[in-house]
Formats: sequence, C-alpha cells, structure tokens
Amino acid sequence: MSDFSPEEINELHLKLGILGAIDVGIVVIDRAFEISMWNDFMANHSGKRPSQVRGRSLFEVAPEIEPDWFRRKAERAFELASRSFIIWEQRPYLFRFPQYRPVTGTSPFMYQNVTLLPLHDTRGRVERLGIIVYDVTDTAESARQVKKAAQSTPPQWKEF
Amino acid sequence: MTLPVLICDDSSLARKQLARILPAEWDIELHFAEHGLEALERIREGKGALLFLDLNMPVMDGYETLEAIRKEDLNTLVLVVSGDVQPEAKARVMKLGALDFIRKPTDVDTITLVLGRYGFFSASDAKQDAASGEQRGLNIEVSQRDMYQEVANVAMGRAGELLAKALNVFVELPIPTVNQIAASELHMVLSALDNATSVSAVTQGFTGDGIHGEAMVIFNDASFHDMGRLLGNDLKDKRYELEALMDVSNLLTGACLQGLGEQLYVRFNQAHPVILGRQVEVKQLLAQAKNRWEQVLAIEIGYRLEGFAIEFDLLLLFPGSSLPLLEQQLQHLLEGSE
Repeated sequence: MSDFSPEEINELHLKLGILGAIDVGIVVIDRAFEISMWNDFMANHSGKRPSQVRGRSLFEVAPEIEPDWFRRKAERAFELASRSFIIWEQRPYLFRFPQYRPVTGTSPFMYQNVTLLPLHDTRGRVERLGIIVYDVTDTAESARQVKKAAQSTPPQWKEF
Repeated sequence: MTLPVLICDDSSLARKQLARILPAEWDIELHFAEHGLEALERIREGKGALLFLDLNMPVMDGYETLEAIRKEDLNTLVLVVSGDVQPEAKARVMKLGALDFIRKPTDVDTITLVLGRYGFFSASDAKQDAASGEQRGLNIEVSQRDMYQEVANVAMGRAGELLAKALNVFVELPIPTVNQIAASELHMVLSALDNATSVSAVTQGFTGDGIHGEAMVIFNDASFHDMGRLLGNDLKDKRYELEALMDVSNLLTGACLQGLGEQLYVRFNQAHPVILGRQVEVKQLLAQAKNRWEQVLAIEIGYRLEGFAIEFDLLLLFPGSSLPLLEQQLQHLLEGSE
C-alpha cells in the first residue's frame, strides 16, 4: 500500500465508489470462468455478496447460464481479443434477476443487453473477460408491446 | 546501379504512402502501376526489377499477377503489400513465388527491415551524395474517395483476418465501394447490395472523437444454414439464425472499427447492436429510418466465404456532419507523422 501516494489512494477510492454505485452490472471472469469481480449492481440484484462468489465458477453462481453456449461466446472473445455483444432478442437475459420495478413493472424478470469485454493484462495478453450487464427491460417491454399491437391491428390499418 | 522499382496498387493513397516511406538514400528509379496488367507491362519494359504488389485490385489482382510473372518467367522480385492479412492469403502468395508479405498499413521500420533482409538496401551502403534525396511520392494526387477506399480496405482486411481465424475459412475480400450520397438514396445502395428476396440485418452505432457512424451487417438469409454450421450453433434451435447474425456482426464490426480506429488514431465506442429486420426484403430495412441528415458517406464491403454459400455485406455509414472531422483525421494519414 505504501507504493501509492494519498492522492492515488483517493483517486482509487473515487473510482471504486463509482464502480459500486453505477447502475450497470460488472463481472470479471478468468479463462476457467472463475469470478474475480462482482460489483454492487450484481450483488444487489442477485442477493449474492462479492465474498460469496469470488473464486467460484460463473456457471455455479448463475446456473441459468447455458454453459455450452456461453463458453463458445466467451472463448471466441478470449481467442480473438474481440469485443462481443449479446442482445435481449437473442436471450432475454444472461443473469436471471427480478425486474427492477417490482410493483409497476410488467415483466417478471430483467431483460439484459450484455457486452463481453476482453481485458488485457500488463503484458498485453487477454486472460480476463469483463461481463457488462445493462438493464433494458423498458426497451424490451415496449418493443414487445408494439409488436403485439401490430399483430392485433386489423390488416387494412397496417399501412399507418 | 540504379534499381528500377515498381509500386503496383489501385489506391493512390497506398502508392503515395509507400513511395514516401522508401528510404530517401536508396538509389532507385520509381515507377507506378494501378493494376496487375499495367505492372506486367512495366516489368517487360524493365521498369520493375523489384515489385511492391497489392492483392485486391481491379482488372488483374495480385494473385493473377504473380501467376503471370511465373508463367512468363519475368525478371522481377515481388514483395506483396496487402490489406488482406489472412494467414491463407500469405501462404498463397508465398506459394506463387512472392519473396515476402508485408501487412498494410506499413511503416518506415518495416520496409527498411524487409529491404535489408533481402539485401536491397541497408543504411550503411547509402550513397553519401544521395542522402539529401527529395521526398518521393509528393506529386501523387490522392482523391478523397481513394483515401476512404484505402482506409476501408485495411479495416476490411482486419475483419477478414479475424473472421478467417474464427471460422477457419478463407474469406474472399472485395474492393470496398465508397459513395457519397443523399440520405434519400440510401435505400438504393441497400437494394444494389443484395437482390436476395430475404435478408436479416443488424446495425450498431459507434462514435469517437466527434466522429459518429453506423456499422450495418446485412445477411442473405439463404446463408444461415451454412453459417450456423460453421459457428457450431445448434441447427435445431430456432434461435441459431439470430445467433449467427450476431456472431458475424460482432466479429466484423469489432475488427473493422479497430482497423479504422488504428488508422485514424481514434478509439471508437460501440453501442449495442439493434436488429433492423429479420427475414425481410431489403427495402424494408430502412422503413423506420427518418432522413435526419442530407448526406451520408457509405462504404460497402461484400464478404464471401470460399467454399460456402455464405454472403453478407458490411456497410459503414457516416452522416454528413461527421465528414469534416473524418477528413481532418485522414489528412494526418496522408501527411504522415514525421
């Protein structure tokens, strides 16, 4: 710790504060799919504290993730060091979380868009992957409602 | 003895860039060609003992040129300088007799290294009196369109390399088409891309240093079967088509933007992709789009996978408002950093 100046520690504290408070899920896994970071968003929505998930397999912590499918995506991101996106139309969610608005929300779960972000270490190798989780429930719900409305509209009105 | 050196590339930007970085002290007589056929003529005239050869060119491409050189047993040594950087592309040109393969965009250090490797030039044997040699390539005029095309060419090559690596196939790279069009004409560009009855498309916004754009991937629906198989998706699963579309768009867009960003010194942020349409006619893709801008720069790249019935297009779109900044960044590329 003595390697850091008080300013640097302050700066770090500030950054960690923002990472904690930001309303986006941040998970970091290694090549063995073990979790090394789990931010407040993830902890609060899953009810699992960072200390409970750190060092454990992602598939054990989140059994709703289909391992074969996710491994393929993640391994490609690792191998090619290329950012990759998963949208709610593909899979409504990666992590099954309850919907953010428990009273007025219409969906039982949180729709998610996910970014897989290859993370380079100091030697430029990609040994970790950031999983960034965005809540897109409102977008997904309204898109579904528009689609539903379009399907129930009499054909002669479809032009409008 | 003055060495006749020939640069063959359809892009004036690429010719200029390469001419500029050849060692100033190197005692050569520099000639240019815009495609393979022209290069062959120059070589026969004795104007190309050493040939810097691009691969993707109209009229006669680099592979055909190499074949012709071998067939006619022409007296020239060939260094391929290519934006198509797939390992397979390199393997093919080496088999066709190229001396070496240089990735685009190249730089002074790489060129000097390669020239030294084959004994064409080393800094120590520079002629003293030629040291003040005038800068080469100054008189090459580069049009805006050529500039965009070459930048797209390199970016497209990166995407091709990644795709080839991910899918273990050879990607046939075209020559990118650059068009500055009125926004209302965009649907015509799209229709010209693909006359397939049914397509699916995703689009992704990106931005960096004030430059905004969209990367659109349009997939011929007939390609899904082969694509799903290549990607290892479960064909029985109804969702695999969307998975294939997303996988390809992730790879293409990511690599292309990285290639573009490296050349423009911009790190792009990418938004999440949005589905423009699935199993629709091309003209329906833009049904929802409002023409908010008057002009748009459209770069079209049509990819094909060798040995598969797979076709898709990548369309990079820049609104008119981004063009002044884009051109400013491109100017750096033209002037170089020294």
